[in-house]
Amino acid sequence: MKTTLLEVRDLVMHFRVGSGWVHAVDGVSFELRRGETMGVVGESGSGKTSLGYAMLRLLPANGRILGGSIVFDGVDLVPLPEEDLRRLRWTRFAMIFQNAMSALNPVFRVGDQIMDAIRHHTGVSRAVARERAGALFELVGLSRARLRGYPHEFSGGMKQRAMIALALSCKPDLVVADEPTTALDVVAQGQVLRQIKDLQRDLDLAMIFVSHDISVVAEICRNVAVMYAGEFVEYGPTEHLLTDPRHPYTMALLRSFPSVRGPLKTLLSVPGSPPDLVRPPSGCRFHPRCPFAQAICSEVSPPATPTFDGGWARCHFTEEIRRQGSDAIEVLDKVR
Amino acid sequence: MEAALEVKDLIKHYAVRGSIFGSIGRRERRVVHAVDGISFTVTPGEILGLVGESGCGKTTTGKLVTRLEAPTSGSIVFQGRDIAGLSQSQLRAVRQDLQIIFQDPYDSLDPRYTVEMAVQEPLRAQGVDLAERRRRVEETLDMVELRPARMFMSRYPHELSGGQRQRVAIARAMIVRPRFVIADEPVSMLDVSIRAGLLTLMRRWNQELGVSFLFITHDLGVARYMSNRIVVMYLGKIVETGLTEAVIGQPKHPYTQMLIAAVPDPDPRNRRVEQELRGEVASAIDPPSGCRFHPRCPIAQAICAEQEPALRQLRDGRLAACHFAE
Repeated sequence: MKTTLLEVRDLVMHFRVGSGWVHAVDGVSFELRRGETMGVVGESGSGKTSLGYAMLRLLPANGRILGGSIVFDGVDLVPLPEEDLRRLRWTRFAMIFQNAMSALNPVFRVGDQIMDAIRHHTGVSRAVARERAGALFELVGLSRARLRGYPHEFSGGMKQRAMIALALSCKPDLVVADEPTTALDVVAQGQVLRQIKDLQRDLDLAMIFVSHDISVVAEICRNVAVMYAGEFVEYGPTEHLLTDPRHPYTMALLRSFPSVRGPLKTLLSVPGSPPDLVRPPSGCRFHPRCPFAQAICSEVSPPATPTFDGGWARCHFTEEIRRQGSDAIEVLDKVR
Repeated sequence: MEAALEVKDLIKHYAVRGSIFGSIGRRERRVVHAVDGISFTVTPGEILGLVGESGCGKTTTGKLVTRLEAPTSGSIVFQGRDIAGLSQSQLRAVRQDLQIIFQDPYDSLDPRYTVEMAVQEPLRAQGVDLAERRRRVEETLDMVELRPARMFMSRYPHELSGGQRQRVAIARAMIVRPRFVIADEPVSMLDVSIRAGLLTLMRRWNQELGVSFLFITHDLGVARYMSNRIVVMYLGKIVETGLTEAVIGQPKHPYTQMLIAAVPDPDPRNRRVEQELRGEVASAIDPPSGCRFHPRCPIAQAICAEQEPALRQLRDGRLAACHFAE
């Protein structure tokens, strides 16, 4: 069994807006082992991007970590002085942002930007940095000659590959990727996903992959967490969670996605819209939209009920959902 | 039966200036071949899906068909009348029956207008009186499930969620009871949990009122769910078209095959076939010779760079533009 690389416990991160505090991350816990990949799926406003930033302590100016711990390779990042954190960023953990177009400076050659990052963090010579940048480009499927190119000469897919190369430039143990393929067309997305899969295998890299797209996460993640209104509502091995979900929100998400393969299914929508996280609903935060909700759901926040292989779901009725199996989906259908 | 819409040999070329240096020296005029000779028909009551990646010309096609842009050449026959060359004032009579729904619900609504003002606007242009306009707005908001309608009428766009805004945009298109709707990526900005509701709404609108749709999307799953027939575009050309289930289930053109192989799937039982995903979309300024897909095509031969394949009928009735499709 591989050792634990990252252990997040009861993490709470809120940020201030005009009307109060947004409960963006509210008591999230999980564990990630070396070389493992975890997906975090959720819709806009679920707190998934905030979580990605918070776990590397990259907080917006109005954001505060109000509780919990983020233990990375034995060191809790929450109380760590900013100076020590800076030493860890890029060299031990790195982030790939959603919008690669704006992350690269348009007036410098892409290769120079990567070489600067390598030299800044490792202090190696220019020649060594150039050699490493060239090797990284080849690793992500770009030719070395591209190092001399400017960002505007790169297509969206190529920029995203360059961003992956940049994130890997100082050989981190962990990469957090926030929607790295969302801006890409489907073929370019497929190419980048395959590249990421190869890198995971070749580099034994741990990854947290944040996306709104459950199918993208399914492609490359061993475990998946489903996030709703600042909380993880279900967590488990990808194959189980996606074929036998136990939380009504996960079930609904899976049935709202029109597939190009398999029999054509009727799509289901979740009634209502995501809650205002300044005043999240009481009890289970999904209860105002949940077709199975009972009185208890608005009163008591459901505990994590074990499902399979270390997975769990936070719903009062996981057992009923398991017993009913696909009939539970019919309930969703009728509600519609 | 007369087609709801018949597009023939439609071409849209944009002139662009070359580089700064190019324009100082010799004045080089370069041409973007956005849409390059496409023909298709939408039959009454049908939903035709139009799919492809960014830059394939699908959005331009939508703008041409609604005459938000003028085509370079070709014909667009709508209700028995060629609208390709009509002036804006002549088009006014057609617009009522030809509505468009855009991708961005944040962009397409004026923030200073209440929902009622936004939705009744097309009726006001037609000279419908106030009482009738109110009644129709209420009725239409109810149809798009913004209930209770009276409550939503006085709201402003900023008070609505993305899904509710898109429902308002749909209501505005519906209120004039058009016979034809062009929907350009109407759900791609929305969260998945609310997408399904809007897609279902448009399907009901199609089935219950017989409204025809040209449904433009990059999402093949959405196209499969919505359309009876599908058109696949690549670099301004149609590469394959036919019944949706046939084209998506058994694509015959190598580009369609690559496109479908690239789509990820949440169900581990639907693991996609491993197929090479090669290269990137070429520039529409200097499209490749012969078959425009040939530089990326896994089965390309010498002929593909030389001769453009015709869009021809295959055994099962679909059309594909490939020298080797069977």
